[in-house]
Amino acid sequence: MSLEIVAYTQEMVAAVREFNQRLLGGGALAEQQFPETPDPGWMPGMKLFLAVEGSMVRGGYILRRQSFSVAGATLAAAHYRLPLSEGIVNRSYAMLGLRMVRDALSREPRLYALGMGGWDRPLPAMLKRLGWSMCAVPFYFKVVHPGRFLRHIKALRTSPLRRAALDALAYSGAGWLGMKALGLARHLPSAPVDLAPGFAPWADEVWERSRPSYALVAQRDATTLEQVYPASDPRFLRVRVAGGWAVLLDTQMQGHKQFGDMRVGTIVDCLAPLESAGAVIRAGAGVLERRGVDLIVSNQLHGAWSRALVESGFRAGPSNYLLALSPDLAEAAGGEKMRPQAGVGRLKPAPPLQAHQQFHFNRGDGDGPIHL
Amino acid sequence: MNEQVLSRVLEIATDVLQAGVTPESSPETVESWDSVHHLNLVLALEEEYGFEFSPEEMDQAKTVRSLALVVSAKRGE
Repeated sequence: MSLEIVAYTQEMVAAVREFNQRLLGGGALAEQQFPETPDPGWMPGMKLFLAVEGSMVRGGYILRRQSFSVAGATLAAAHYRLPLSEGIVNRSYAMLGLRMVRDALSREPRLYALGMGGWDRPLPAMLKRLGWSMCAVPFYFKVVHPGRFLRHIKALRTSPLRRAALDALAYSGAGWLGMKALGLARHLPSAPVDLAPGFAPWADEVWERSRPSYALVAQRDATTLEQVYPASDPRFLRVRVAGGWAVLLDTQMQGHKQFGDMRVGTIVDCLAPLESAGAVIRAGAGVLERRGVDLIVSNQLHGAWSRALVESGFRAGPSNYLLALSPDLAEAAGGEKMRPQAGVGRLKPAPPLQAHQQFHFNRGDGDGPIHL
Repeated sequence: MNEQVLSRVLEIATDVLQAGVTPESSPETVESWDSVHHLNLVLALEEEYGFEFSPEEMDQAKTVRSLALVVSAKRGE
């Protein structure tokens, strides 16, 4: 029986539920589940597709259509997200991953994928092989309370010996002194900051002033921002400063796989003319410090925002948050259109993404704040 | 089906999958034949023969022999 890829409708919910159960039963991860509704309502502009074989669902993916600005000009593109295939648990469907990527490209040639969990995962390996331009979105962190950081950072507390050593550093104060010496626990001077209740026309002015500075940036006007960070959601802190803005989260973790029970501040999203990046980051980090977070984290691709973080006392850490641009989107963004380097004996990876330090991507892109 | 095509497809599959394969080999019988290797195999064949598999052809191509059959058919053999 042949497969076809169709729009997800309400009648298919039961078949999606069965598909999810087969994935779980076959050993897929708990997060590898497709929405059991055609309208999950996570983000604006989403359209869900299913790979169906008769009455059975064998896979699915989501396209989220967005407007981008390419050096000031508007461009349509889409986020390719959550591709799931029965090939994860049944090799008879090993071809479905490629089929779904090609189907998505036929609907929107300018695609991007973001996150993906690391270079060794099947999706980035596949996209790289298909000639998509790829890079990691750098991860930055700043320790505010070294004692709590050392007691709760699960990524470092991997053995009894390490845990004992980190506890000794935490309780003796030596950890604080060491981090201070390394500049990892530097506090920012406090400055008055305007916390906005929502995104209003002032955000449109920021967008219009800022967009020409970026080689590639997803639309961040007031309407779009209100959809992603609605004023009705009390989690989001909107810092308005120096002709720009930042969206922050202050989250008390509980048994988090990396952050344990720390209180983690996140600089989720930001926008400003490039010369204001430093002031926006300083203001955002200062707000989070004064609220009492233990650690501040941010993923930022653009060079100006990366520099602003480093100059505010952040350090770079390993990043599994990957960006992939389809050949057509990479070309539209000013890069060279890559062709897959196929052929036996000539299986080469696509070259790394050029000029990516002028692209603005952070945790506000892709899935947005839904996993934060 | 052209035996030369089958022979060449077997060579390419052996190289890409890094495993011994027969005409009846499939993702279910070859440990390394996962989604990424399947992609590598399809792209290698497309590059070798200068065409792209249609979605229907990708559905049909579930063994090395069926891949070779699709290649033969596209070449008009």
